[in-house]
Order: sequence, then structure tokens, then C-alpha cells
Amino acid sequence: MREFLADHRERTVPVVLYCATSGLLPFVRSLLLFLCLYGCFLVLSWLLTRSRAVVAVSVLVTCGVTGIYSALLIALSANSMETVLSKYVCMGLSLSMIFCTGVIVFLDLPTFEISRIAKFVFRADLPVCAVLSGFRCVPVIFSASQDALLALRLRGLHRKGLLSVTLFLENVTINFLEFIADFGLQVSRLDLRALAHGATYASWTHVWSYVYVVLAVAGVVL
Amino acid sequence: MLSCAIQSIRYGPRVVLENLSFTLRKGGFLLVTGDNASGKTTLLSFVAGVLAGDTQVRIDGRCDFPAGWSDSNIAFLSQNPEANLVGSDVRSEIFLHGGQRLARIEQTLNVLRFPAVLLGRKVKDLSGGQQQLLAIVSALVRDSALCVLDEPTAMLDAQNTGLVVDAVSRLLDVGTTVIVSSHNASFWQDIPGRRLHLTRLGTHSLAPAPEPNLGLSPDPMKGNGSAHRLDVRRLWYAYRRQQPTIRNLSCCVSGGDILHVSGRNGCGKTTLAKLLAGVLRPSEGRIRLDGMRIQEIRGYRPHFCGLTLQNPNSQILFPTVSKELAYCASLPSPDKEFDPHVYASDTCLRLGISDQADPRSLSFAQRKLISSLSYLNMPVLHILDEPAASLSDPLSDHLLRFIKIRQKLGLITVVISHGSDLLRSIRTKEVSLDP
Repeated sequence: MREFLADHRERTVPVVLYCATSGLLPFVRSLLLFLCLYGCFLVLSWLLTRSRAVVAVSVLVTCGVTGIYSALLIALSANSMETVLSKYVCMGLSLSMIFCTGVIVFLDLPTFEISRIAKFVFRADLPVCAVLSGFRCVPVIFSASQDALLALRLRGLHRKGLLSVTLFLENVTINFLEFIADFGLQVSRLDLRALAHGATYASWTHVWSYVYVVLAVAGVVL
Repeated sequence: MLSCAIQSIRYGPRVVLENLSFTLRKGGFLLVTGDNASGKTTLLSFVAGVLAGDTQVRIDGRCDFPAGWSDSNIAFLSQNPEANLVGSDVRSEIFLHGGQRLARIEQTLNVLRFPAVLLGRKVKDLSGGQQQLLAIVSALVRDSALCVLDEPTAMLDAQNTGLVVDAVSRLLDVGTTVIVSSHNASFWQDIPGRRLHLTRLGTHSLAPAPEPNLGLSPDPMKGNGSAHRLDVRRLWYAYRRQQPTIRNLSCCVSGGDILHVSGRNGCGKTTLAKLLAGVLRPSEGRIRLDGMRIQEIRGYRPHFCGLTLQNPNSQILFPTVSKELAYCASLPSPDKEFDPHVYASDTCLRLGISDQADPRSLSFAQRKLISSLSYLNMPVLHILDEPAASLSDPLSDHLLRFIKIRQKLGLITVVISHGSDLLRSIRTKEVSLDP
């Protein structure tokens, strides 16, 4: 246990260095990082497929989901607009990243690059809310899908054609929405301002993440 | 001082809570008990600010969580442990909630004796009970003024339950106000504080209903000694890159037997359930049902084997309770004497719900019971994973009745549970997975 805690202490970066890399408002940083990553996804999907359709679908799905999701959260939220921007829009953006990734994966593209980017983005803990919601949701969708398939199979419904597809989609969608509702609640209760100012959960990977993002964007552009 | 006044809360036409008020001093404890669907979760959700409505919650005499009592000062633990967890691994989960309060993190982990081996795991690799324990750690490491815990011990074994009660006591000592809902008040009897018992409004159907005519044979032990047989021989199972979870397990269960699989959280109970149902393939050993390898059963699987998962949400597939219960009921039953449609109607009557109700609009415990009863075609082998977690006495009785009917029909029932109270009177065999 002590090693576990000591390990956390060692990973904590000096406050000066942390502040130097997190001087912008959480929302602006979230937005910039999102735009960088989203740009990477789009360019990557274009390079891999040379298909305008893929890029177009990615853009449409992303914009649609982001808009609906953010509007829904803003409508349901009793918090101030600043809080909404710094918390929930990030979640909307990150959720849209999932769909964007999903479109690319669904089209059977190589996922190595995507998973590599995803990995360091997650470890970057920036923007914490967006990244966490994004990459926590992916395993939940997979897990919900697996459970729904299992439930269908165990009850012999998997051979029922359209009925099985309908039941599967309904089950996964409802479970995912329920999860998002509960999960959003927990995330909204985190003290993100403290997180963003390095009071908690700061690590060396956070600093390195900026370097990675810059290199990734530069690499794609060049 | 926390004060709560509720005039009326409705879900559609049904009144869930009415004319309810209570106050709680700083550092006070409130235990909310009551029947399933009596409004425990609803009440806690309102107090924690999750839901809003015709309700007034005042803290320190002020409304709507004034400064110092913001949302981030209220820890809320919902019944679904997966939804409580924000991080993807145990480490990030703990530090996201605990931040730099390292002393508090260390104390909480020590008080709950959180297994050190889990600290490096991913959340998805934890068992249901371990996820619940982690969610409790996350709630307790926060610097909360108010801690609202909805059925925190439903998926925990006896030892972990005791540790959680101890941890809550310590939380009260440092001045945190705690509200807990539980269907089992005895766990919390040593903690002084207020008790609030809720009764279900708008229905009286939970009173003992007349026994329906199920057409069963008058011979109660007709099925015992029937030809059905589940044979497990030298069973081993290990997840990839992990130590074996199931080690050299052997047992033999005959028709009419009720096998109780017990063990602490994370000992492999759910893994065994999936192995017995043929969902996972054993690393070594074999499982045979009526002489057939369970993975190689041909034909229509629900005739032979049913598995009720721990999380009812992933099990429920149909939009109405009647369809959910009737699907398997419409399959040919191995025993013509059991009328599943009569049983389905009786279940709705006892739950006090319409058969056209959406299963997802029911309480967590009601959903749990509906998913347990979804194999009314009475397969030869039915495995129930933690079926009684969160169930109050009337619902537990109904579940027991279902298991007894299976026993009378000479079918094999495997019940996986960390507690044994439910099964003490009826189990005929027991397997413990504790090392």
C-alpha cells in the first residue's frame, strides 16, 4: 500500500512545470486537444482509405452527436454556463470521438494507430473529463454488447433475424444511455478545477502528452 | 443540519413518496429501509441532488446546496457499481476521487482491507463485488460533507460488509453526514442514528396472495432421483495472464438438487457460472450435463441450460414484463405439469405491477427478480448468479418458491451467492470456492 502511494508521489510533477503546461482554461485546452486529435483521426482516415465518404460520415456523425449530446446536457444541467462548457461540452466532444473512432473501426481499418493515440491520450489526463468519459465509455459499450449478445444466445434468440437485431440494439442503447446518465453524474461531482490546476492526479505523462500531440500533428501535416 | 421535506413524488400515476420529512445533524447517520420499490433509491437521489422535483432539501438552513455544500461535496454511490466508476483502472479511479489526500486514501484502503493485488488492475477485470468495493473506496476517499450510499453492501460478502460498516462509522466520527439505504437493517444495527422505514404506496398486492394452481404433482419430491445429472470433473480455469481462478473443482449434482456456490468477492463464482453454462471453455477438466459436454449441446440451448446474470439490465430484452416472462414460457417445457403462464401472472400480481409495465421502469430489485424468472420453460439446468442481492423479504420468498418448484420438478438449480441465509433451508449441496 505504501509503495502504491509512494509511486503516486514520485509521479507527481513539480507544480511550476505543471502550471507552465496548463496555463489555459480547461475548456480551451480541452477544445484544442480535441481539435488536434480529431484532425488526426480525419487525416488518418483519409490517408488510409482515400475515401471522402469516410471522412464525411465521420464529420457528420461527430457534429450530430456532439450537438445533440451537448444540447441535452446543457438543457438538463442546472449549473452555470461556465461549468457546462468546462465539463459537459468536453464530454460531448469526447463522446463524438468515440463515434468517430467507431466509424473508422467499423470500416475495418487498421486500428493500431488509433489505439496507440488513444493510449497516450488517456494517460495524458488532459482534458480529464473528456478523455475519461471517452475511453471509459468504449469498454462499457463493448461490455454491454457482449452481455446483450450473451443474453440473446442463452435464450435462443440469436437466430431470430430482425427480432434479435432489434432487441440487441435496444438493449445496448438503453444500457449505454443509463450508464452515461449515472457516469455523467459522477464525473460532474469531481472537482475538475482542482484537477486542472494540478492539485491532483498530475503526472509526468501529462507533460509528455503535449509533446506527443505536437509531434503527432506535425507528423501528419508534414 | 440537513433537512428534507417531500410533498409528493410520482412516477407517472404512481405516488412513490408522499408527505415525508426528516432532519439530520452534521455527522448524523440515517438508515433508510423498506420494501423493494418503496422509494429508497428515489429518496436518496433527491437528497443527493441527482433528481429534482417537488422537494426541498435544506442544508444548514439553506436550499440547493449553498457554498461549501456543492455537488462535489456530496458523494453518491448508486446501486450499479459500474456506473460509479470513472477511471478505467483502479489506480486512476482512487486518485481521481481522493486527489492528494494521501493519508485519507491510505486509511480508507487499510480500513476496507482493499486487496493490494487489485491496485494494478483494470476496472473491467474486477468482479462485481470488487467493483462495488472500489466504488465505496472512491466515495469514502472524497472530502465529502454528505455521503449518500444506495445499497452499498448488496454485492459484498459478509467480511467486506463488516468492513464497510466499520468504515462508515469512522466517517461519522470525522463529522461526515451519512445516509445509507439497505434492505437488511441488521448490518447497520451497531451504528447509532436515525432509522426511516418506507412502505410502498399505491399498492396492496404485496400482501400474501393466494397460491395459484400451478398444476404440480402433489408429491413434493417427485423429481428427486430423476435422471438429470451435472458432472464436473477436475475443472481448472485461468483468465489470460492470470493465476487460475478455478482450481481442480469436482462435484456431481443430480436432478432435484440445489447447489449453493459460495465464496468471497473475487473468488471466481461468476466465472464458474459461465463455465457451467458453457459460455467459457474450461482450461482443463470437463463439465457434462446428462452425459453431454456442456459446450457441445446441440439443439435449442434454452431447453437445457439457463443462466441469469448478476446485472439484470443486460439480461432484460423485451419491452414489457409479460413479454419478458412469456418468451421462454412459450417454449416447450420439459414438464407438462408446470404452467408457466399462470406463474407469470402470479409473479406480476405479487410484485404489484402490470404485466404491460416496462421492465426498465421497475426498481433494481424488481428487475433482478424478473430476470431470474425469465426461464419459465424450466431448463434442465438453471444457474442464478447472486439472485437475492438487493431483494427484500417478499421478493426473496417468491424467488425461493421458484427454486422449490424447480426442485419438485426434478431439475438442477445452481445458486451463486456470497450469503447463505436465503438458501440455508433448501440447499442440498454446497461448493465453497474460498481457498
